[in-house]
Amino acid sequence: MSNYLCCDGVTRRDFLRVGAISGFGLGFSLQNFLAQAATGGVSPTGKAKAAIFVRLGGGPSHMDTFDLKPDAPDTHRGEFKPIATNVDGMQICEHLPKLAKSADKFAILRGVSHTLAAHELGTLYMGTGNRPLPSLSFPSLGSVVSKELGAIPELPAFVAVPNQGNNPTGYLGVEYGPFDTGSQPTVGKPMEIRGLALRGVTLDDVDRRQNLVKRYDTAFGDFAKEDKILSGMDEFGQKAYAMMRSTKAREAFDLSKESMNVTSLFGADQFSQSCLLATRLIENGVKFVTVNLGGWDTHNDNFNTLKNKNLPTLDAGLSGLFETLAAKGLLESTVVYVTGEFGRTPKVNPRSGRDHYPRAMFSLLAGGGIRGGQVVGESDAKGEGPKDKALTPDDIVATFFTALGINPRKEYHTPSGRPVMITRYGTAIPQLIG
Amino acid sequence: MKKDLAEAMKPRPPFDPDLVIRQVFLRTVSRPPTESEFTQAKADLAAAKTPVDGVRDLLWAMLNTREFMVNH
Repeated sequence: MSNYLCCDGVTRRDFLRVGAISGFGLGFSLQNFLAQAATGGVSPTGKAKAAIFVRLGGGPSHMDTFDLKPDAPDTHRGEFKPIATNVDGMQICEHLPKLAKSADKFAILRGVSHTLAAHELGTLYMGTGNRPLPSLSFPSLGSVVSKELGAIPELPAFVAVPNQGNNPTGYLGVEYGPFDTGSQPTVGKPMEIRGLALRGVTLDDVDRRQNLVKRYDTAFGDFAKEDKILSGMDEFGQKAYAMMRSTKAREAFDLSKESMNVTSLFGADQFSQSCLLATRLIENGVKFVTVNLGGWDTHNDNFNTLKNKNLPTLDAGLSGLFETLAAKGLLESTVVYVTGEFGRTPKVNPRSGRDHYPRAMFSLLAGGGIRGGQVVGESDAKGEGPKDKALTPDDIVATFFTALGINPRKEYHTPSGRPVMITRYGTAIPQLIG
Repeated sequence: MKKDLAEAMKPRPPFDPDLVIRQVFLRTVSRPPTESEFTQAKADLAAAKTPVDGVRDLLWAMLNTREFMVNH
């Protein structure tokens, strides 16, 4: 944590500089300076309207997925070989053949680096763009997008399949929380989402009961308007009601309504179906969808697990996602961010596994105006760290928000009135956007 | 089984809306209904298709108030 920061976010260096200028009587007030600093001098030009966040829980090995080192020594190289993709010079793991044919759609970020080797901390850093602090809980990307882009009337702004994890809203509060579907879709079975499925109750019943509740729910009076939890509940209550009554919401979640052409692009497993659901939700106006694929924490038997399970699953689902977004004309307006919480040790351990390794990892960014079909950043010869300049989670998130037309330096206030920027450090990566 | 049958055959007291309304409030939000709530509830019960439906709806409504969800 930076030790020259004042707790209000103004660096002492900035303060001194302003003081000096004012001292020369140029009439440049601190107020003006802070206002300018708040805009970060960045004008976000992005026009993307929605985002999909694919969380690879456990921390996938960069050495065996998107950052292979075929020339590294035996102790590091691993069992997989790189293959060519439909983009010259871009190579990925041989066990991702479908993604190799969609490589023009996404950008690989290599040499992404941070220092947090614990699951929760890494997840927080990658998923908020801010290094986790014990004193302040930062909002997840979905919560910020939910706040900035808002929701359409009949659907939530932010959906997580099956859930988003702990405290996703940070200091932004309950109103910007995700709609957790609670389950992942299974092929052949209609997805029953608790709170959406009507199950024998008619819409008349729903309306009648809703009116009843309104009449009896007066105990809190005006106090309810000032309390964040109560107004959040209200907000959610209204939304739930609107969603339950809406055919659009029910159909968005009904995968059987999708055409065969599209369905055939995906596998039959839950991750693929979740990706399919994500494209449907985006198509229907949801602004942010989180999809989860876990099982990447391969301390033991890394290569068999990846080859037989994780990689084919990722390949089918993610390629389906990119191709479907493109086919539906949604790729230009939807940012896709794929990441785990860290990479894995370049030196293979005695159990044929790899352990936590944040110093080098990969992420993928695609869509929403981000230039795909390229590799940005690089790790060194053995995959042990960034080769030159590291790409930080802050930079990736700054790029993400810029694509969505959200200023990464925009200032929010915590419930106690403290001003905090969405992300204080990190600048949008020029090869990707801008 | 025999015991349940015997219970079911016992003569029941007639449906007393006042008592039931008071019970609904006590059992959900742990307080008696206010004057206006009481009058409202009586009207709602009278308007329902059957007394059982009316009580069911009232119970459902009370369980879905923020008062119940936040305080209890």
